[in-house]
Amino acid sequence: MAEEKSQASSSKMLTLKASDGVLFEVELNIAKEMKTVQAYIDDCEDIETIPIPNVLGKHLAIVIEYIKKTNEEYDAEFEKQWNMDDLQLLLLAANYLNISGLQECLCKAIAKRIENKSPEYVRKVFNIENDHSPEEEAKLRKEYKWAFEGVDKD
Amino acid sequence: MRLVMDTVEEEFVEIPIPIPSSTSSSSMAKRPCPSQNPRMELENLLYQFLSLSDRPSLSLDLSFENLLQSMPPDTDLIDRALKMGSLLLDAAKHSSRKRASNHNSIVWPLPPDLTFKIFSMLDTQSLCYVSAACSFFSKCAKDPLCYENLDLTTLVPKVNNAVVATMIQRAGKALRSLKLGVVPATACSPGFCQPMVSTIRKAIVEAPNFSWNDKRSRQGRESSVLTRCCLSPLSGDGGAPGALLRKLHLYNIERMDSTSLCGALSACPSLLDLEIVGIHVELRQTLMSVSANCHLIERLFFESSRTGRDDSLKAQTCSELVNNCPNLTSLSLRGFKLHDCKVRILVKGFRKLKYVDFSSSYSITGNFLRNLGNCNGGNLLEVLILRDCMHLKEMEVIRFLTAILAGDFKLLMHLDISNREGLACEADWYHRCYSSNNMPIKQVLEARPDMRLVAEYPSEGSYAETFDAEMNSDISLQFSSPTSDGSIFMSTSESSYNSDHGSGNEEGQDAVIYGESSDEDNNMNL
Repeated sequence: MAEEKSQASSSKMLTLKASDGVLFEVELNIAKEMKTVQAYIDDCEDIETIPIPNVLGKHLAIVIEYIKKTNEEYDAEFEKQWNMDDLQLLLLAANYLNISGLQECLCKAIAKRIENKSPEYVRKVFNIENDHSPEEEAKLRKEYKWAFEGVDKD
Repeated sequence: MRLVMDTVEEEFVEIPIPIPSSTSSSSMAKRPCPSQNPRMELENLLYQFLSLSDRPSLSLDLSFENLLQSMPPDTDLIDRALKMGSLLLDAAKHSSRKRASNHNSIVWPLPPDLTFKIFSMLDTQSLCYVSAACSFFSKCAKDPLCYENLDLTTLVPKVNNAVVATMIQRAGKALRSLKLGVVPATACSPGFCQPMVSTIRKAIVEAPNFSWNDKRSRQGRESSVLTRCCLSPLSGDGGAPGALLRKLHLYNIERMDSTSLCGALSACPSLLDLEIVGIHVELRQTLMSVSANCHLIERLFFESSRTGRDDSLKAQTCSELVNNCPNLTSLSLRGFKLHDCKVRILVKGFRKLKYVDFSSSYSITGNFLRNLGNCNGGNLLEVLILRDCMHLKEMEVIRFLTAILAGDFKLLMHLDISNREGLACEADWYHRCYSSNNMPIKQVLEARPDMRLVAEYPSEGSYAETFDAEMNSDISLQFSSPTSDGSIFMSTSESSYNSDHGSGNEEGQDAVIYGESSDEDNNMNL
């Protein structure tokens, strides 16, 4: 049992149950980084298994790993491994579990991927369609005329 | 299908043809029998018409043409087709957009608040691009959170007052940072382009990577479309946008003047960081406005639009600034006429001052550095930049370096005393000292290995001829502010150098005319 980060009271282990039934045993102080989980613990000290209904096992695994390893270097490399869908789902997970550091990191990562990219590229990346009416479109082009230059060629 | 039209009443009488039920590729379900309702009749008509699209051999144009032939010549069939076609097209497009919106709402997993958060991390330009992507993004991109840090700087003048006003209004009281104006592209990398004399730390210099004095980039450029009132939205809405503004950076806004700038500053009591480059405002007036309004200010970066000619600074202005803005930690005044006595008030008076840059200043000799290191003002200095100060005397620099060797200025990490013209000699500032041989640079570097010392001078004699040239003839001088590509000022033949100019201890004004070149002389490179 890795005791490096534990203090006397936190050698206690907790079980987190993902939405698809996958179980994760984590140390208390790791789990406490998730404010949502913390709230559970505050409510009921003896609790041993906490359900996480909104998060899939594979994402919960990534989140737990992040909490264990987070530092500047890790964060910089972290976001590169995931595709856009995963980033979004991880962000939802981090939001639900209320982990502010991870939320910040993921928002930055998503923003970085759409920075200075054309509207067409943005649509492609997020798989969304253009639903502007011609009038709206004209209005937007006019308002943002100053910006539409110097976009990455994608 | 034949239609019999009564042109007065415009009623269609339909003779239905059975639609083959083998059109199984059609995604349209079988419809129930039409009722008596006229709306239902129209819907059924539409349905049947649209079912035609499944026919492989459909040739609508041919059928239409045949129909037209069978009509009397004055028929308005074509106009009707245009009208109906257009109505149908609009309806279909509208529904298509609705479908796209639905698709987007299914596909986009994040709730609005997370979407705002992501958008708030985008720069202003990218924000415009995502707005154009779809209507949900367009709505999210209007959230004030996204406008916290407005960067409306552009390479060429494109942003007008209306854009500024819209953005500021959207930000409302969320506005924290505003950058505005024209920022020319630069060949230099950010920071200083120079060889290191001694470097252990990364460059910590804060200069923007361009300068108003880079005339080559200024040539041919249209004047900014922003007018003098472009910042008035800061005062709008009860002053909400300006109230919590922390950072204001303005670049090369031609039409802005002292009054309008001071008006804007009066709306920004929370300002921490003010950067003004290439704006035609007077130093004294601006500093007075800062004194009066921005008591929390921590960083002041001010680069003159008329290098060497703004002589407005008075001792009283300095005292007021020191008294009213005690939090100042970074002060850059570049390209102004500064006298040692006034500068001394500033450097001694600001108790938290760490970063000082007086590059391209006229008049200061370095006298202000005497006895500075062991008292309030000088002790905390970490960065001192006196690059290309025409009247900076070698003797004063030597004295300063000696003080460092003696243990003063313990926190000084970065010192830049480079000068493209060499330093001024004691007796006559017109004579230049080109080498750093007289200065104890090596000793300082040995005694203070953590310090970065930049002392670039032209090699001995390379400009000697130029300076010995007749005073009345055209003299070309290479004069650049630290990070520009090197722009040229040439004095006109009427200009003269007043050799009394260098003294730092008098308030008296000199008759020096350091003429600004005419544009056509600009293309000479030394």
